[in-house]
This record gives sequence, C-alpha cells and structure tokens, in this order.
Amino acid sequence: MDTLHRTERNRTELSFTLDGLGDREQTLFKSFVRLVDHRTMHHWTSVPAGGQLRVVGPQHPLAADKTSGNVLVLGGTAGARHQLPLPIHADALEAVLNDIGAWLADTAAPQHHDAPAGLDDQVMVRLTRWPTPELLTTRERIRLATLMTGRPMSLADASLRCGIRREECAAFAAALVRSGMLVTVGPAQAPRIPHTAPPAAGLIARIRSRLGLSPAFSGAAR
Amino acid sequence: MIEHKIIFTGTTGAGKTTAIAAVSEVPPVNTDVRNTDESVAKAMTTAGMDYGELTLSGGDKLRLYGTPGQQRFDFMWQILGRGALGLVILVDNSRPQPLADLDLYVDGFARLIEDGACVIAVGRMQTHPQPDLSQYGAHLQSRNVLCPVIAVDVREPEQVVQLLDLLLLQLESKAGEAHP
Repeated sequence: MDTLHRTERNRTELSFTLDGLGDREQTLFKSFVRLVDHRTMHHWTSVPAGGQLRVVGPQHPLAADKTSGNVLVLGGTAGARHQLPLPIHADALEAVLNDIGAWLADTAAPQHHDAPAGLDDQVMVRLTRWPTPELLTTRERIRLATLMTGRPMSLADASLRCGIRREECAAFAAALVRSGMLVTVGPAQAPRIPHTAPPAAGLIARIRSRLGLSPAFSGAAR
Repeated sequence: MIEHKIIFTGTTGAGKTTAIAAVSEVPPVNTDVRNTDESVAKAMTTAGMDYGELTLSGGDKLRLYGTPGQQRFDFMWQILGRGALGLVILVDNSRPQPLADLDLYVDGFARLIEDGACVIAVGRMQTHPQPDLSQYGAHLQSRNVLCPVIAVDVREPEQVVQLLDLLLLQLESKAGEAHP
C-alpha cells in the first residue's frame, strides 16, 4: 500500500493517473485540480502511471465498477461509485476529491471500524478542539463533530442523534483519538449548569422546518 | 407571539449584512451610511445594525441581528446578545490579523458562547487561505473555546443555511444535556 505523504502544509499528498482520456479532457481535469488545490483536503498531483486514483472515461472497463473507491469516472455514468459529470464544476470536483481522499486515507491506515481500543461506545467522550480539516472530509463528520461540541457524549448517543452508523462514528472517533482531539471523560462528571434556560422544546425543530433543513435526529441507530 | 434571536457579528466587510439577507424573509433593514474608511473597500457600511426575520409556525418570530462591526459599538453587543439563541462570528480572512479579530468577538460574546451556540464562519479563504482552519481550531483551543469553524461564502444562501444548521445542532446537543 502506498504511503500517504504529508506536505509541508500538513496535507496528505495523493496522486492520480489519467487513463484513456483525450488530450482535452486531460488538460481540463488537471487544470481544475490545480484550481481547487487550495480548497481540497489533500494535495493531488498527476503522475503518468500508478497513481492512487485512476481517472477514466465512461467507456473504460472500470467505469461500470460500483465498488472501486479509487476510480473516478469523468463524464459520469450510472452506477459508478465516484463520478464527475461534465462540464466540470469546481465544487463538485472538490467534493469528490475529498471523498476519494478520505477513502484512500482510511484504507491506508489500520482499519478500526470498531470503537478504538479501550473506548467502549457507551463511554463518554469529548472533543478537545475543533478537528482539523483533514478529518472533516464529509458533511456527516462536520455535523457529528458539531454535535460533540455541545457536551460530552457517548459514541452510541452520537450515532443515534446524528443517524450515522455506529461504524462510521467509531471510525471518526478513532481518527480523532489518534490525533489527540478526543478524550474520555469520567462518568461522574457533573453537567455544567448554564446561565440561561435551554430553548423551548420544539423551537429548534420549527426553525429547521422554516429554513428547509431536515430534522437533526433521525432517532434511528443504523 | 414569542420572539427569538440569532446574532451575526464580525468585522466591517465580513459579510453580516449579506448573510442575513441570504435567509431573511423580509428585505433586511439596515442603517447603512457612506463608508469613509478608506481601508475597507466598500461603498456603504453599517453604522447601527442589520435586521432580518423569519416567521415560524405558530407565528413566533426568529429575529436575525447583525451587530455593528466596529469595537466602539461593543456596548450594543451585550444588549443584542442577551437572550439570544446563538451567535455566528464572521471572520474576513483577507484582513491583516484575522485571529486577533476573532478574539475580539470571542471576548465580547463570551457568555453567549458559553451558554448558547456559536459557529465561526471564515470568509475569503479562496483568495486568502492563511490562516487555515486548522490554525483557527488550535487558536480557539488555546482560548478554551470549542465551536465549529468552517469556510463559507455568505453570498451563497445555501452556505448560510448550512451555517445555521450547525448552530441548531449545537443547541440541540446542549438541550439534550438539560433534557436528557
């Protein structure tokens, strides 16, 4: 497995190879990758062969593979795990590169889909700081971290409140623990008494509804 | 009718007026005057505050207040912050010392940050990527403040809505502490 290199800006360096694309598509894709470089969680560079990510066209044999996490289909095709429709939009490219980068990071690191050693999912945990961008690779992780800023909570509770699978919560928690951004707290820790009363029940749901936001808590641990 | 409020704060030009306009159901009321500060490249600036609102089911109002950005108006911050649900701090990353700017509002709204919710939204990161979000997180940790820090373009209404989504998540989390 390729080693994930850290750049001087502490971003992981990843590589991509363009396979079977025309000159125009190659130039276009490389240009857009450079354009969004300051926004992506990882630093992507083009290599002639052996890149960690293969970028292919819709007619490529790999385009129909629904499972490969390191294949990006440029031009899009139904069923591909990662696809980028044409014309390329910077936001879409940023999102798919971050998604793929997170997958590569997870597959390169030891898999800890269970709770980290010594961290039962009933144990209360708290964030020590807002996580670094490299760990906040999905919207779900940002929301999960936000939930954790409110108060200490268990992974089981976090999973239930966010509607995120426990395995995903555990993977995120493992990454946070490795980075020193998540610690356990004592079960006897008394809750802080706030200076003001909490919002009335139902108010936040009404605000969400008015803003067109879905309810925060699906209430179902998957 | 019950009234609730969310505060938007930040330096002049950080995007408070724009952010409120992105979600308000009424054209934001503001007290703009001609900008005479040559260091800020905008024609108008808010001398008082911005105001927007949303009507909730049941007739309650969610009022959106944008504080004046200049420190000489910090007496208004305490007044506006009283009883607010939460705070959005907009930081302009193109300014010379964005972290120092952030400290001003973290100090000025310390009670609201502690008891309510707070999200820090950093703008202009595309053109001014430093300090990066990791540095913001480390800086807040040194200040013993824990809240979300995200990059945002307040000209995009969807991004402003996502900001408020995070604010509401924090409130829900803290409410869960009070109402387990």
